[in-house]
Amino acid sequence: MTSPLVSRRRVLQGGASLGLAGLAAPAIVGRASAADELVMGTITPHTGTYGYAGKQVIEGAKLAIDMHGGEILGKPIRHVTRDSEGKPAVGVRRLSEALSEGVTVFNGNYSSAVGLAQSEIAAKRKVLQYSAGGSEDFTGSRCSRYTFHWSANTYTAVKAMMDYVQKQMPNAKRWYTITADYVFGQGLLKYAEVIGKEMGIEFVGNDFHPLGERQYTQYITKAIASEPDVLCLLNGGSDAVTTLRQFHNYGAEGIQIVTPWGLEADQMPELAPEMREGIIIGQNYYYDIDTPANRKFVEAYREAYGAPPAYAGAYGYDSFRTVLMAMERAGTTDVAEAIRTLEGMEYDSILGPTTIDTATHQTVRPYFILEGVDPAKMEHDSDFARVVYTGSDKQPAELNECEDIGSL
Amino acid sequence: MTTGLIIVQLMNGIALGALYALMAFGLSIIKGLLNIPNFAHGALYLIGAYVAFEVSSSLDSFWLGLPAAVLASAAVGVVIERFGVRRLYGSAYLFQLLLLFGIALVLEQCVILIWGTLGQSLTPPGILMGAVDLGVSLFPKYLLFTTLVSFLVIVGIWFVIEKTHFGAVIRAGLERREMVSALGINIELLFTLAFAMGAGLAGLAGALAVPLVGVSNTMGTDMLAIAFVVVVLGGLGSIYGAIAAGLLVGIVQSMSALWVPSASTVLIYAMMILIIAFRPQGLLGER
Amino acid sequence: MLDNRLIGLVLALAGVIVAPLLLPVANATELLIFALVAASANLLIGWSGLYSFGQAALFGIGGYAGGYLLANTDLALLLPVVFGGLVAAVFAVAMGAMCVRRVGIYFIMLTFAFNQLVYYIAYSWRDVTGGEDGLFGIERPGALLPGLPEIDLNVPINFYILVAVIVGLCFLALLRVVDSPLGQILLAAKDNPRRAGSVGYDIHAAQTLAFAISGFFSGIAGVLYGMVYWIMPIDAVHWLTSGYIVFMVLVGGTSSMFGPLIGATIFILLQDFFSTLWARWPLLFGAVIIAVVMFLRGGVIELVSHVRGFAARRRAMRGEAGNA
Repeated sequence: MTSPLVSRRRVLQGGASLGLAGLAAPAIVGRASAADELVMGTITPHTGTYGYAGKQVIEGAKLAIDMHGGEILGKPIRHVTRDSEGKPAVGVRRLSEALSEGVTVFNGNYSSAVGLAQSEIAAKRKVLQYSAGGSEDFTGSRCSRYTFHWSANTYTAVKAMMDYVQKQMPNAKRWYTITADYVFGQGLLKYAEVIGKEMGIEFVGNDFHPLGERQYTQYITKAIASEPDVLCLLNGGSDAVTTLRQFHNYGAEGIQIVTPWGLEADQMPELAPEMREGIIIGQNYYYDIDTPANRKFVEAYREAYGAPPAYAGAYGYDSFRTVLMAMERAGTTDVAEAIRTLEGMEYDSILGPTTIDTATHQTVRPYFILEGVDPAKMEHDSDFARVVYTGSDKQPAELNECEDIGSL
Repeated sequence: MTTGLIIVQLMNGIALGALYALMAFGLSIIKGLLNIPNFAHGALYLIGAYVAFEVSSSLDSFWLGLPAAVLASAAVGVVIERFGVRRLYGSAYLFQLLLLFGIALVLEQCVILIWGTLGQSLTPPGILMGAVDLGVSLFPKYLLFTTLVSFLVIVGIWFVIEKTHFGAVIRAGLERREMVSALGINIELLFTLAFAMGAGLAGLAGALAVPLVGVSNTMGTDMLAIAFVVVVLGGLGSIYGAIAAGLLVGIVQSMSALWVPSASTVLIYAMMILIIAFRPQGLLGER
Repeated sequence: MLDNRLIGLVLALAGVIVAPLLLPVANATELLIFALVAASANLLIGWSGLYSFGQAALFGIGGYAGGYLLANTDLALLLPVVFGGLVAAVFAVAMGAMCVRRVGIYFIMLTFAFNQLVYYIAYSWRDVTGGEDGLFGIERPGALLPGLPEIDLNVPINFYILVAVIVGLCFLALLRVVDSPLGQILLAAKDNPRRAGSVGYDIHAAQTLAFAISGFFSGIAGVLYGMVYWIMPIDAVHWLTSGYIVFMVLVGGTSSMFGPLIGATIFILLQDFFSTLWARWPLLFGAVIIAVVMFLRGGVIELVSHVRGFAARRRAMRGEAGNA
């Protein structure tokens, strides 16, 4: 059997060399009927800011399919992959390519902007999306019946972080926050203030910084001057990494650094070991989570790819595993039936006991708080941090902005 | 808003502006002598950063990393000039620009192939760790260091251009290219040297930035856009305008982050358009 | 000349018919839209010698303006489309008036700065543009004009046909523009600005008008683009998109309005093709750009005419040989 991917390449090749003169080229390739196979798509970034994630998402997704035996309900599963470049405009184009190859379930966005753009298409074309990313809009203001969100809600993240800090350091009441000035950072700050109020925390100062800021000196200077117990970074990705780097340059002591969503385990190696020591970070996933499903996953992942999985790999794996599980339960690969089964489903994900909220399609799952390991005590190369706390408080319904999730 | 904070922010702006100035100075030397817009300047900055990172971390010496970065970027610059740009002198800007754009894409991907897609960090050498107390506030030593190095290098190049024989040739080249070749000077060599010098400056800026922002494969593209703004603001006729404009952009960016953080980038481009509307030749440019 | 154009139009029409059979319909639709943007950019690049690096700003402004209406009102389809074009044209006049006085690199960088300004405004002005997440909720209204019967445009091929008709009409209009006195003035000013000026033409006014026309059609393309995926993504206004548009024009060739159509087709197919090959595909893409600049500076259009010239010479030679 020829792989449709190959024949499609041939079409593109023909198209590329002949312009549009290749009149006789085989038309409408790969639109296999949905009845005899399940086509799952992973559209994920290989270039740009999230370029590191793409390969791992695909590895994880592929593993989920392989560990399911490569077939479901007697039908073979085919895996289609594409590069979204981390750009919304490209992500939607690649998605529409993948749909024309018969994809009915897809994951891999990683970037929130790409995922939100794709969710518009998922709803119109009636295919199932399993998204990831820091934006709470997926299950909030832009919730959709066809989109499920794998990453924890930011409320869950902030709550777990603050619970742990209060438990560990009951006297750390003076907090200073540095917040990225866009929706993601503002959302984290909103939750930190709501939760902090109940805990009697005093926010001694906050600074907003532009997204992609290069210099954090001014904010760090202000923060150090106000002598907080805790410096809380409410930004993400490279912004958080840069803040940590520049804070380290000051050599300030006695201030605990915490960041609920600042950097994923994938990005830990971006920090020099001495920068990581003692920081408290929130994580959607860490490979030494002790659940049966995760132990099995980590073992298989290590065997297949020679390294432990990180957030991206876990997302690729667990999201597809969940969908396949729902299809088994539904007894069909039909998208609408799978969605109905997923709604309210309770199951053991690799993260632990997990449910899917029917009203928002948020995956309600544990969130992990990690502490950076002293470089001298690292037991192996990827022993960056260890899980010290787990929280799974659901976002209170009154804080959610999903008004109508829509119909099938 | 305390005075201390404003002073820190001003110094921050100068430190950031000094890096922009290094970038833009190199860009405007290349523009001035070779008359091409170097779209690969961001990639040269990227290469400088990664080479500095690699040498510093594997040999454990930032002091070797800095010159290695300058040499590496300059060497890549020589290759670009000899085998690419040289064949396009005299053709339309757009072709030169596209060529350099293509080269930038290839270089950026090569960096990813060698070093991977994940960013990395480097701590400044021990002597530059920590902060100094300025009386009004703390300020990181490393930022003082980058500012100092940038200015020393700029003054050094100013000296070479204004006070030496080689500089006289460059100045002649800037004003009238035909005359230089008429004087029997090897203009091809001069162009290669100028490109290497500009590329080396980009490499230096990249290396200096590493302990501040780390290395990542998108850092070149980000820096390129700003460097272009700086060059246009400075005025295309004058290579020194880029230095003043670099500082100005750095300071405006830092200061606006105090009051309107989300608009600090918009402000830079708006400023550029305003200046061009009312002073088309740029800050120090002549017409 | 006329018969060249006829051949071009017939081939273009054939392309329009074949594209949705070879590509996913949405991607074929996108291809037509970029062909229109590239053609309207060529009014500036090829006809006026204005190497604009700000075409994505015009494309994006149109897309946001029209998309905003499509997402927030129930207007019939063509009204937001024309509105997007007009808003982009107004902005193009402002941008053009400021930029056309500058030449060479200065012009390129100035248009680049305008592009960045628009990008960061779009980025910050979330209420209207959706910021980083893009303007979403864009609909394809069934009625083209108030009172007309409704068509189901959510059927991909129906939407494709509509886009093909709109793009086709815009393209014919662009052909009229380059044939008009304005086209002649622009060409004259490109070849010899001083002489054209001394004959009494107001060159800057003509070039600003070219900006407006180019902006209008790019803006229309922007609105159509927003409808393809029901979203206007922020990266559509990024300067890289401008760079890609310029590349489309140059690959196709600037000497004919058909060049950019070929260029856009090649560009999009090439990108799609490369991106399935290798995760580091921009390296291949960069290499192709370098190769085009080094060896194919006249674009594909010129290559075609070389080949045709060569064939004609061969025929002539054969003819002579036959006579002898």
